[in-house]
Amino acid sequence: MLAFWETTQSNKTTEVDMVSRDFKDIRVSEFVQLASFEPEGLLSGVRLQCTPGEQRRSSFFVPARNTNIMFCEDDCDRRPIPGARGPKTSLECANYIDTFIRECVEAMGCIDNVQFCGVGGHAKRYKNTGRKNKSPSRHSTGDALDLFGVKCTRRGPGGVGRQNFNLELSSKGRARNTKEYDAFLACWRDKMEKSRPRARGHKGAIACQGAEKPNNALHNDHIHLSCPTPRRRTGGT
Amino acid sequence: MPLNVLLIIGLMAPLFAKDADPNGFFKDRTWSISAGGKNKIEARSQYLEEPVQRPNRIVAHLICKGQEPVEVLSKRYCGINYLKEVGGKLEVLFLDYDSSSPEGYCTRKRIQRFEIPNCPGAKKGSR
Repeated sequence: MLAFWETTQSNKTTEVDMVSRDFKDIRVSEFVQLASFEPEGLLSGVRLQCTPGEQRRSSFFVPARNTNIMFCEDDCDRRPIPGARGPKTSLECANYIDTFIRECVEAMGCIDNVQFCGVGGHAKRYKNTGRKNKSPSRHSTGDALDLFGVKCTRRGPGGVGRQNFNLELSSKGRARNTKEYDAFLACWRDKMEKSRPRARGHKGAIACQGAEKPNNALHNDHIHLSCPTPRRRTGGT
Repeated sequence: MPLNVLLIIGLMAPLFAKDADPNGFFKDRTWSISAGGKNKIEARSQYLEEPVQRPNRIVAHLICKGQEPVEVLSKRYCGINYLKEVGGKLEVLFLDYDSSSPEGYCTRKRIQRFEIPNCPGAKKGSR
């Protein structure tokens, strides 16, 4: 332990260490630059951590029960893919997520081992490509995540014991677990509405048909979760 | 610089601007491929925006002369490099979403082959 302490002390603190230390409920595996459209250009971002076992430069201890909330780019309906990684988000969005996601997963009854799966994050989009007369997607600035599912541990029936819980964040998943899907959605939207700074007109999430609006058929197989980071060109949700 | 020269440069600027979508990954696209004999496969792809990993949907049909088209594939995807018929199968080079790329989209190559069904009423192997 002393050797670890001395090594840490002798190394210059990296951006990764700083970012990891600043977050309480999520973890990041690297500090990245996100390519964006003009005039935003390059933005500071992070890659969210996918699995608790993922090595970080500053980590030397992995708790047996994972209390951090993980985000994985893997395919939800397969076994965990070795080497699967987390999505990239803007630093600002990572901060919103870190501040509010705990309460929203608890609204679904999750107590620990929370992992969002099938997650897509940053994707550069040009302002006029395929989006005539629209502002660019919030994915282009790392301010949005597409979530296909969530896995976690919950209390068993009657609050006794523990059980695994999988929720597909789709119209099918909502049909099976309406209360949990709607509780998560309402929580995130409520948190985003009250958070500051907040871009004007930001709605927080786009859900499947049948859920609270905004919703549409394009989001029947995932939830588009976004952060209200004020940007020069990205608008609503 | 004279005003008329500036005006000409301004008018021609869009001609030299970088194509925002050179691969057509964020546009509706179509393909028509020979599937042996007089049959062909027609594929249509629609850009749907979401989800970010698979923003497009492709639907391909085997067009059989005088009959209803037969579906070959229907799939959400990120990017497609090519479609071609190889050994009686439809070979597609997909470019999957890869957040490791600086632009965070369709760059990871993956080849997938799809069985091409026989036209209804056709002899086995003759399609």
